[in-house]
Amino acid sequence: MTAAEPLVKTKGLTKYFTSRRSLVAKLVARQKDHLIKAVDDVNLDIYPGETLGLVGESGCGKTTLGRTLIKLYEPTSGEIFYRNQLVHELKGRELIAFRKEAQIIFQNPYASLNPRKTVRDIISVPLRTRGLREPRIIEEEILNLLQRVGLSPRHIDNYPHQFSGGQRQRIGVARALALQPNFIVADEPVSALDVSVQAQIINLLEELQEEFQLTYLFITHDLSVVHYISDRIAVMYLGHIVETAPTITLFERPLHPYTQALLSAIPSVDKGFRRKRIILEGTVPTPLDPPPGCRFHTRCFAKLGDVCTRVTPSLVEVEDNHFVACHHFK
Amino acid sequence: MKVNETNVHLAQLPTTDRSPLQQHLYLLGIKLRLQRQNLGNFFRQLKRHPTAMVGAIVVVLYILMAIFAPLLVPHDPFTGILGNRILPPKWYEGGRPEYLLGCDELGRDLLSRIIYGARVSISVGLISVTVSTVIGVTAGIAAGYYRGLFDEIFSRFADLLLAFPFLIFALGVMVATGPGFWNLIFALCFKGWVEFFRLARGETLSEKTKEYVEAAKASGQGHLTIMLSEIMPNIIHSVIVLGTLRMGSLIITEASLSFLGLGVGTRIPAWGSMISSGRQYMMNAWWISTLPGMALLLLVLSINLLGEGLRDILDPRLKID
Amino acid sequence: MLVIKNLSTHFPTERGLVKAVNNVSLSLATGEILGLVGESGCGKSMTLLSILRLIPFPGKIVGGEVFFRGSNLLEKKPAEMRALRGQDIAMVFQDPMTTLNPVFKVGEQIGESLRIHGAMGKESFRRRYGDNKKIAEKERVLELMKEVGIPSVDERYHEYPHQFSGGMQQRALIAIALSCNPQLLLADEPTTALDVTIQAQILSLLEQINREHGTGIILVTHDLGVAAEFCQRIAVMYAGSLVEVGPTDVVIGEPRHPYTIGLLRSIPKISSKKEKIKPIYGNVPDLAGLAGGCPFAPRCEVVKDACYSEDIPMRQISDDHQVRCLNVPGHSV
Repeated sequence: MTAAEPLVKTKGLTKYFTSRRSLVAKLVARQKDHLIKAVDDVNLDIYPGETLGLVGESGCGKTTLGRTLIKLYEPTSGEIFYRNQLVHELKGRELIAFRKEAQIIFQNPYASLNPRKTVRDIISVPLRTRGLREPRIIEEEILNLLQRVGLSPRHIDNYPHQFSGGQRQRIGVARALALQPNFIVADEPVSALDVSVQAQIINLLEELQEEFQLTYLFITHDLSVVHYISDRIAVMYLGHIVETAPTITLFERPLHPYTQALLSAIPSVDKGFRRKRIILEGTVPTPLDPPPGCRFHTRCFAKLGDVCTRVTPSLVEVEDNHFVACHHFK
Repeated sequence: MKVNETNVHLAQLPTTDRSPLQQHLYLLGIKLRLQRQNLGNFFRQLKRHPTAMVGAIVVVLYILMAIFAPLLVPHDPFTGILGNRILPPKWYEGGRPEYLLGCDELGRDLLSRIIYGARVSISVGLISVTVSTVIGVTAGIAAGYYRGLFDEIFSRFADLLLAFPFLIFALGVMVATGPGFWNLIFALCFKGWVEFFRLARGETLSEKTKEYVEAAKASGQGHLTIMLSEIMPNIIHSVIVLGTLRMGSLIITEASLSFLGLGVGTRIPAWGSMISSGRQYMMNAWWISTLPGMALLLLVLSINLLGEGLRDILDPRLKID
Repeated sequence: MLVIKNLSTHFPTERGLVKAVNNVSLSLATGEILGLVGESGCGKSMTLLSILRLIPFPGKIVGGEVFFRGSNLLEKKPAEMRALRGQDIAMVFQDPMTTLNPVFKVGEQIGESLRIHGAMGKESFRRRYGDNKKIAEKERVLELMKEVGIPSVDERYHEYPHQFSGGMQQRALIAIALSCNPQLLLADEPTTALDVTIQAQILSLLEQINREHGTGIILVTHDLGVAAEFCQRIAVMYAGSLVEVGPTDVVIGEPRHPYTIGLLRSIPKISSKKEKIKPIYGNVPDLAGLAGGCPFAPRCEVVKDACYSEDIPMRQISDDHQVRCLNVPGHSV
């Protein structure tokens, strides 16, 4: 897997959001813009054909990272390469070409479809971006896509509210597929769905990957799902990647204390998996003012001492393909 | 039973086997059917709001009256007959059958003048609402979408305008520019766009954060297309509701200005100036002021009833399920 | 302790009658933790609200009995129900953010429940916390806050809900629920809005409460994993009806109802990497206008003609295992 060139590569990728005060507040009350450090110095490689799972708790920056990768957000600093092309510098025709390559499937199938548009309208947008003009060809393509994602052609002129959550997510998948992408960021695509329907979408995504040789960045907080679908997993905590490893390795030998706690906290129907629970104290600190040093030190049960609170550990390769950012591993 | 062969054939034919023309007809058919469905739905819902239905009918009658005014008037509304001065309505003592609502202080037929007056009120109302909507919604969507300095300037300017009472503001503008139809439109729109701006900006701010906008961006749509074809359809219903309700108050403002002599000018019959000129005769000829006032009241009331109904039908957020 | 017999709650809607709770029979022993599992809209929350008689308009409990310590709750007067809620039976809701009132201090909100039920006037309470009601109330609240694991309680007492994180808010809600030492705690998806690590905290807190006070808990959840790890018995609900009830190990290990089997197959297992997950065909049905027969029939793999026509009875297949399916032999309850 590592032999290949990465499809997507980031170098020191950083994305800060500023929660802006109004001009008046700035001038009169001398308030300053707040800085939310959503993604901080992330180095990540995604290889062609693989599924990289990105896990972490709410507010850890995983969604921001996914959207920055496909240029829905502009990075604050750092570099993103897609096939050795600098993504954040793309403009005009090159940007359109990139849009055709890299797509996204959203978490909330209720908000991600425009309620005033029919399925035909929704899916024809990316088809036009692909350069299709003739209505007949567009319709034909829409029908093919609907069929591929398991929807009936008679739904083509229905509005989103006429569908169930699972069906809406299929429409979302069809829209992403319409551009014939190579790389898809799947942002919690099954979190909003009922368990019995989740499995349908997961299987659909797997089938599509095989059929079209897709590369996925699969963002989720559900560790059993990520275990099922991913080849490799990256664990994120407060804007930092703290551990990456092939799925099996990560579940067998989690090294970072946070990963260990996370894995132990999964409630599972699976008796073979259950392990002693590590209950972390406290809650995730706010990304507005993340703790210095290792960001996990406020909740860590294996703290070394001063070094953890002062120095930010960087990712080191402790075994083949297994990287961890913790002062325990040097 | 005989079935329409061509229709069945077209719908059942696989897409690939249809000629471009057939496909075009097929799509057109679907589109028309959908539009008819939507419109049918709308009327079905309107029927469930009897007050709104009545409002709609009255407004339509007023509009027809304004359009066909020259054909409808029984007498010349501009020139009076001296002998007919303050002639009472027909059913009144001293009234004459050919002058249904009597005559004003210059002997002009009141009914004809009221019918002509609808032209001013309706056209001023429609044009100023349209202009306000276009300006307000365009600026509002742009401000909400781009934020930044553009938004800051427009929003503060809007705040500033909102600090003036509407009538006094319009009065000032009319004093500066003088009476006249287009001056009146200008005076009304100068402040009229603000509410549309605030509505469109607020709605855009909340729509913009929804994932379907990001999806459109990811599909390679440009900013302009996103604003026009993604955001606009989602806010247009609230705009229609606001527009209807605002039209009523703009018509009132127009009448108030006309009443003060700062309307479309004295030559053209307007309800406001009719109310004003009849004021002195209130004691012995009440109809000269009161009847145009009634016409105004009925129109604005109907518009508001229609607006309330539209809000129930089009703005589902205010609907209680 | 709690016995529910043939409870039915219906909602008349424009689209037809919604049988949100359809003939549900359940029981809970003292000190037991029961998991009520099902997908969204299956009526599991409505079952809880029916127990407390807090059904929102236009819903109505149309039949059945709910015995709590021998007396039927559905026959009690409204005033008696009010006294019971919060005191003997307490509830924890899914979204702490909207359950706590944003304009009152958290400490005061915890104390409110004590005041409503006149706890400070009771003899045992006075003996323990003194006669001064104000001081006694605060003492008790601080004690509760400590018990549910809120740190630095003296400062936290005076803070407002927005200053609490989601997990802390849920702890405050649990403190409110615990304030009168209830015998039964109804928890409606208490961890769904929380992160995995916080979920583990809250679940272990509930476990501790159950262990130390012997509080019976009904945990409503859509997450079979949570139910499997946390509950002693599991009841699976589908489209308003219970389809399978039994001890956790049996329901998870040897499920008999096709829906339970399907649900378990659609969850990825962690111990065996490439065991393919198998989704259940179709979608969760709309409860309005549900026809007779088994509601799961249209999605069932082993469906028979009879499944569509008959109302299927719950059958006892072993001492403590009940299944509602024609394919599973057993004698009717």
